[in-house]
Amino acid sequence: MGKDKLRIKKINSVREETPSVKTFKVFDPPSARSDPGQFVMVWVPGSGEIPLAVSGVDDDCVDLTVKKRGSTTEDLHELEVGGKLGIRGPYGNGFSTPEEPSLLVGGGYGIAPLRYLHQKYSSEVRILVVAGASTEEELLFPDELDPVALSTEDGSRGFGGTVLEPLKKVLKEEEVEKVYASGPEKMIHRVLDICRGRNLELEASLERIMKCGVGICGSCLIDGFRVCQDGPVVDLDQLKELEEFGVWERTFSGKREPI
Amino acid sequence: MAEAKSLEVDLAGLKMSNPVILASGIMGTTPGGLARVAREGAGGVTTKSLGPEPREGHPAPNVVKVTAGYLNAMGLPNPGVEEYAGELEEVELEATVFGSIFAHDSEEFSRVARVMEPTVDALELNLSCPHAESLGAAIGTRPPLVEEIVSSVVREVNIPVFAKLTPNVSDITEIGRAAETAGADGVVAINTLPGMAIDVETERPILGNRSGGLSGPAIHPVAVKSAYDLYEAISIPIVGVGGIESGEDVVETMLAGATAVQVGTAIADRGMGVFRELNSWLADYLDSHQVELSELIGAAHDY
Repeated sequence: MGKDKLRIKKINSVREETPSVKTFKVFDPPSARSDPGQFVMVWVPGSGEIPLAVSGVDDDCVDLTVKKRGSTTEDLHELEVGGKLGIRGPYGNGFSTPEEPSLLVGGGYGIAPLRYLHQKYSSEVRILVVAGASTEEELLFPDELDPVALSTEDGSRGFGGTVLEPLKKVLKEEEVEKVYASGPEKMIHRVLDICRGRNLELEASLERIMKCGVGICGSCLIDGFRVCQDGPVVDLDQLKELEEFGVWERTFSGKREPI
Repeated sequence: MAEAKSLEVDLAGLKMSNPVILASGIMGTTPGGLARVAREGAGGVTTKSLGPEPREGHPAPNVVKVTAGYLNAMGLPNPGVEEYAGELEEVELEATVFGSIFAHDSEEFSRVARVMEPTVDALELNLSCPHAESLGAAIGTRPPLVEEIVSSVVREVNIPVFAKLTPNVSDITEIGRAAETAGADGVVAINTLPGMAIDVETERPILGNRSGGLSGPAIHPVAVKSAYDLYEAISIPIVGVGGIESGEDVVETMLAGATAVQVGTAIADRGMGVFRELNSWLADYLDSHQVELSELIGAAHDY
């Protein structure tokens, strides 16, 4: 049974990161042993179950950073210290260990798994961060990650627009060997183009609808690639082979729709 | 040195490179998923069950790990048969393709079958989903309804038609006979068994649908007995399915009476390499026992 068996855990602390994002700290040793980039399936009893990337680890506790964006995340946001969650996993593969000057680029709440990567390795290797958000108040972990450049869609801080402009600027100015990206698929698709054009290595964390988490239900397929088991972290060579990546996404019924 | 034994199999006229088929509901949500499984060495692949209209499926959690298996309540999510068939046409598959379909009645089954027919090699009628109201097992437990649906689809299409049977009846051979009488080219047995998991900390059923279908090693002996009993009762080919995770399970199911087998949940426990592993074990078995694949079918009935 191992990691697949549902574990019921109480919430240790809740931190409001932004008006729409909270971080829940939960004592759960199996998830605390995850690699940055891996995710867990989280059951909100009476509501639903969602995949969440681990956004940080503190001894045997994990941080789960959640944006309010649907009924299950809304119900999760209502939970307080002592509230119960069901956790299974960790699932999928994580990011490789950064061994050379690296840049993390995160869009919106997608920055969550990159925060764990930063937390784990930023004392060992030079890691720069470029972050984007919808507005200044929605920027995640600004003090901790100390971005060298950032963007907001409404222009309230940094570049106005997407994270791609500040990314290109930083890549021009700084010595970077490898890019780690997490955010909306459209953003990652553009980051892939940028990295290919500059001969940079890339690893990205993908997000798709997931139902089983164990590689059988097919909800998260991109071509024949199962994001939950074969990902969620993919490298540049894998990404460029995926025909549906950045082009088609799947709804809950499995219908494909343009991204 | 003796020539290596062939894994090729003739299933109701379908020539397959090996007898290991991807079961419906697993990885078949998209044609891209089927193509992947075909590349991983499956002799056949079965689509997710397609119905007349798109369905999002049941609320999550959809899957719960239990002792020796999984409970699932996906709720027949599918994009609708027209959408899926259109997408399937774009994909080249190096395996025999079984189109799984479901519907509410014989007329609707026939309509869905017509749309599916041009893009697949055979049809599998899902008469056995245990957790979707008024669909699946609600139909598949009644022999007269099974007979009506199977004969209506058989009249409609010119490709082999398989009926997928539920084990959740007092006598599975009655349903098997009904399918055979109606002209089915084969039966697939079994679908999942109904089951439930309740969390003791929150006192709640875990699945969003409260209950679901049990798959995995826990149900394998049920599958073996079903194939065994059906082999005695009917003369059309049987595709054995339920908890097959090893080469030994494949041989056992064939000895019980199956011509081919389906594998699904094993992917969760063994990974995508499971198709090659099973076939390689099977090839070694045939070689070391100096027996042809076809000689295994129903051989346990000699004793």
